[in-house]
Amino acid sequence: MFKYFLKRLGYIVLAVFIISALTFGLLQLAPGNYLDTQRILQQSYSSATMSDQMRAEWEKFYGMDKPALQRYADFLINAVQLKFGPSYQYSNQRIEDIIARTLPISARLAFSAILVALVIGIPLGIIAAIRQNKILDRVVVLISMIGSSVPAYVMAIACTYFLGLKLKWLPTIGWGEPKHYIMPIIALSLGPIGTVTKYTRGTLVETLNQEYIRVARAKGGDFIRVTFKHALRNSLIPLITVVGPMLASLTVGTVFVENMYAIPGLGQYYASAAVNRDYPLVMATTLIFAIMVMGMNLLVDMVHAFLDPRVRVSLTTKGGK
Amino acid sequence: MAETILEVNDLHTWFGKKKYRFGKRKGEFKVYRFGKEKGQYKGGKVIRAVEGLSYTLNRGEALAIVGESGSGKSVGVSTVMGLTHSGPTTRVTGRVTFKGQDLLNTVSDPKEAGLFKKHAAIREKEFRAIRGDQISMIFQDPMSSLNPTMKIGRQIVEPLLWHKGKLRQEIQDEKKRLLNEGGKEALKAHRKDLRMRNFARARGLKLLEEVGIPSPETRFNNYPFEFSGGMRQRVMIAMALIGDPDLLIADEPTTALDVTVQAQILSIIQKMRKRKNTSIILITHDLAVASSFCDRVIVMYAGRVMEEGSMADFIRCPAHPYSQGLLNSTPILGDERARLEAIQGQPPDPRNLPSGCPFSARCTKCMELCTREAPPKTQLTPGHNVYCWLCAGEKVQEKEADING
Repeated sequence: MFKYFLKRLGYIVLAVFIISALTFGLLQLAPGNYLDTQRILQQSYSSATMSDQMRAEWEKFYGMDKPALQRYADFLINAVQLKFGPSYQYSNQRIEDIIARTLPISARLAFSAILVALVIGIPLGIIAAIRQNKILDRVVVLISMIGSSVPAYVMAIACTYFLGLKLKWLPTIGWGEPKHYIMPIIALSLGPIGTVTKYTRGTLVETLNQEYIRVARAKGGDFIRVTFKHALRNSLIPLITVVGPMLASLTVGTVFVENMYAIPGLGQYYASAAVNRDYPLVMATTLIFAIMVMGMNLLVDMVHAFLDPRVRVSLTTKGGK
Repeated sequence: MAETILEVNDLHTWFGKKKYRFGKRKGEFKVYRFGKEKGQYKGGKVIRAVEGLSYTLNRGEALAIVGESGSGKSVGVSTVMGLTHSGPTTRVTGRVTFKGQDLLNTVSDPKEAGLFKKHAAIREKEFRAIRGDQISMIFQDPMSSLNPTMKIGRQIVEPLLWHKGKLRQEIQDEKKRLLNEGGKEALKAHRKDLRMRNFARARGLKLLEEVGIPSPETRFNNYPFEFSGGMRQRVMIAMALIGDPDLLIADEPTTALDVTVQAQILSIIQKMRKRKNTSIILITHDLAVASSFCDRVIVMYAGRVMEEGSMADFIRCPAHPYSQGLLNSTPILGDERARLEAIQGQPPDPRNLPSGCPFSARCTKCMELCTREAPPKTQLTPGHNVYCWLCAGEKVQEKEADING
């Protein structure tokens, strides 16, 4: 098992290296660079333009004067030590500081949203599965379908309007207090709630039709024992494979909601970095997301193996070779 | 006269559809569609899986239920087990008495009971106390009948832990025995073994060994996927026998297994039966197995009983053309014929049973009367009954006179 884990870790390192090379290469090929866009922007609203000398100094400051390969090598060496240097647009901040400040916010947001989705979605799914094809089930399925098809930003607007403006229960903007988390989490968790509910219902219905559930009933198991001890575990295993990637993508995909509520999270920086050609920041954030997605997948596989003995065995035998 | 364990009387199990539901009142066979009455259930809408099944089973007796696929054998026993019970799309009527206790009226859908919801729940609880403890069942497919993510040991001892009464009693007995033999020290030394979980585990281990699983200690903590089909069926048997049931229902226990394993499995069941005097209902396609194993036999076809009697009578002189067909299609060792004689045709559609004898369409000795009227029960010798006009004697003339006159 441990061997397998190490092997997967090795693959992740390799994949991150390839992704960094690809991203770097693509950014080199992309037209325009930060200083030129700044120059044009400045020209458009003030008479004072960036002189050639100033530009050259900036270039030197950021190390843009060196050849691309050398810059990539420098980047790699620094990145291994978790140093990404200054950001172009926020030249007084180092990227590692930006990430250290913003990533926890985004991650916390995504994590709470998933937690809410699980806490609400799994019981809803169970209820729907138990009352299969009855009215309650139909209602739950309909709600979950609506939930998973309404985009998070629409939900964010609806939340702001009703909870913030009409009912005045929650602040529409601001950051720092727990109450500021509530609306973004509602907006973010709605989609996952729908997905989790649908998944739980589907797999539980399937599991309840299995022969071993009949056997458990024949053994004299009551409703609780049969449903929760025998069926639920088997039906939640597939759910894990959905939740992990969902968490990773949610950390990345909070851009809209972060913008809407002016949350100082990573998503905002990611978006503005790409627009402003802030290459060091783009590189750093891309790599972080890549690592998160792959890390989540690894975690999912580990949990999967922990829950399903069949997977455990297949992993150990494969990993042992 | 031996003690009667199980008595099934005129059991009917019908399945409706989502669209056509049975009426809310018990025993009502009216059909509703979207709340509107659609009259009595007629052909085409309802599957009449079991139609008037009756038998009694004494302690230590083994009964075989044979018949083609889809003749209602499995549904019949699953109704007895309470795994199939009345609901909006299922209707069960008749009487099942287990050791003097009416089982069918304990299983009622809470909805059906209406105002007496609470009452129904209590009755279901009572039935649960019997299921898995006094009646247990071995299922057909060992590959899918075990929970894949639970250690087999835990699955085996579950019936014991779910019905604590017997276990408590046994632990008390063991305590007394220890106290008498070795005094308080012995009791102290064995304190761990007397815990419910450990006690059940010891029983499970013993049983695993009895059903022929080598090194039960390690196997106890294995998962089902680490077992072969035959081994899993042994586990299933251990699971069914751990509660020392009075009645064991084996629903085609050897169908999924190869012949040598079949023999082993059957001999295990036979051994257990001899020792504990368990009554057995064996459902099978295999007449050879049934004849070596069982005292009595019921032949079912299209949900109905065709012939019933002692195994010896049945093998020596099968009266019903269907039984004769079944016996003819059984291979005999040393038989030189190139092809077995099969019964022509297919069993009828259970949604659309013909009036009269259900076998009439395939029967080589079919008379005109057979297609019109269901045959009455005729006793050939005590205990050997057949449902066929051929054996009905003067009843045929009476009936024909009735129709003509």
